[in-house]
Amino acid sequence: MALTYTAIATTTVGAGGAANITFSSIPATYTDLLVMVSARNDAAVTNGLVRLQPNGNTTTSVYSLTYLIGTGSAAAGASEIPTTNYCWSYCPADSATASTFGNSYYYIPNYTSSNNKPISADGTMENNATGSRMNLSAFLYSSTAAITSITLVTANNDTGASANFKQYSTATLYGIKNTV
Amino acid sequence: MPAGATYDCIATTTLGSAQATVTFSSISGDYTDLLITGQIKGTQNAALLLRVGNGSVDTGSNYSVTTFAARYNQGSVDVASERYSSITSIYASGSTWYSGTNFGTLQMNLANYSNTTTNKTIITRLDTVENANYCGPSAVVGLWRSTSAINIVTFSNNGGNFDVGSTFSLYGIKAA
Repeated sequence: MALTYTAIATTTVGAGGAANITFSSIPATYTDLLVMVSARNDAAVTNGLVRLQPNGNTTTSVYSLTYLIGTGSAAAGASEIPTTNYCWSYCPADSATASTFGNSYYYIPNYTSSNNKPISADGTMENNATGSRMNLSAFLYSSTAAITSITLVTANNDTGASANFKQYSTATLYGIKNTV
Repeated sequence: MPAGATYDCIATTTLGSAQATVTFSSISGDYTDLLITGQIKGTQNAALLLRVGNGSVDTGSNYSVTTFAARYNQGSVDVASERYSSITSIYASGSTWYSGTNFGTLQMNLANYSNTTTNKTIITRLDTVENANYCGPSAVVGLWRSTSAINIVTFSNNGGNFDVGSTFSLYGIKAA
């Protein structure tokens, strides 16, 4: 059997934090991509966002989503067509329980195709207090270009302002090959 | 999610023409769990249906599901959880329908699929985005009330077809 899941690259944020995490020169030899993230940011609020930008694309009009979120007290859903937040999931920010990082994943099938790219994401913002959140999200990245790089940035969930990843945040890019 | 040789791709199919069903059969019992992933598009706005079995697909009323989904509905989004017992298939509540060249994403986990002691639980995430009713993210827990090992799975599009370019991949996962 062929090797199907391969870690292409991994990054751990060092002291001082980082404004972004970028995976570049992604080979076209896989079928799908999976990005696994453990993150926290330095915004002075409880809830942060991790934003994923294929090919570093910051044109918000090409991103659409419908999402389902849970806050511990309510469930809600909405569509943003287009969204101003790119592809996103929750992460803890600086006011959340200390030393707590939020997990999220982004699954991107057929990333080299000439079709628009669907992206599936789940994320968590766990906090030992009220204000925790989780999201199940369906994204569409309306671009026919193959994805050759992925940029992760982070933001204040309340204001949308950019933030920095805190030290010890990690991200790993996996290539998935469906070769039998 | 671990990387490396614990994931084997058992089978994959990309549709060259529209077809009503996609089946993986004669699935080896050598793995611990199964994972099915893909990009899918239907020829009509319909739910994704899954049936499983041993030797042949079980079409009896031996399935139940609990769903949690956000569904686009004429400009707004409805959040709902639904429950169905003794039905004839597992369905993922999101729609497989997509316009133009857009596809949805599928991830389905079949844990401990080959044991002969317990009923089988299947977790599905099906995500679609479009200005079309019933599209959105969905999470579905399905139950097949059988202690038989699963060695065949069949997907259908609730009366429609899966469109050209739809891809289904079956992975076997081995515990360390």
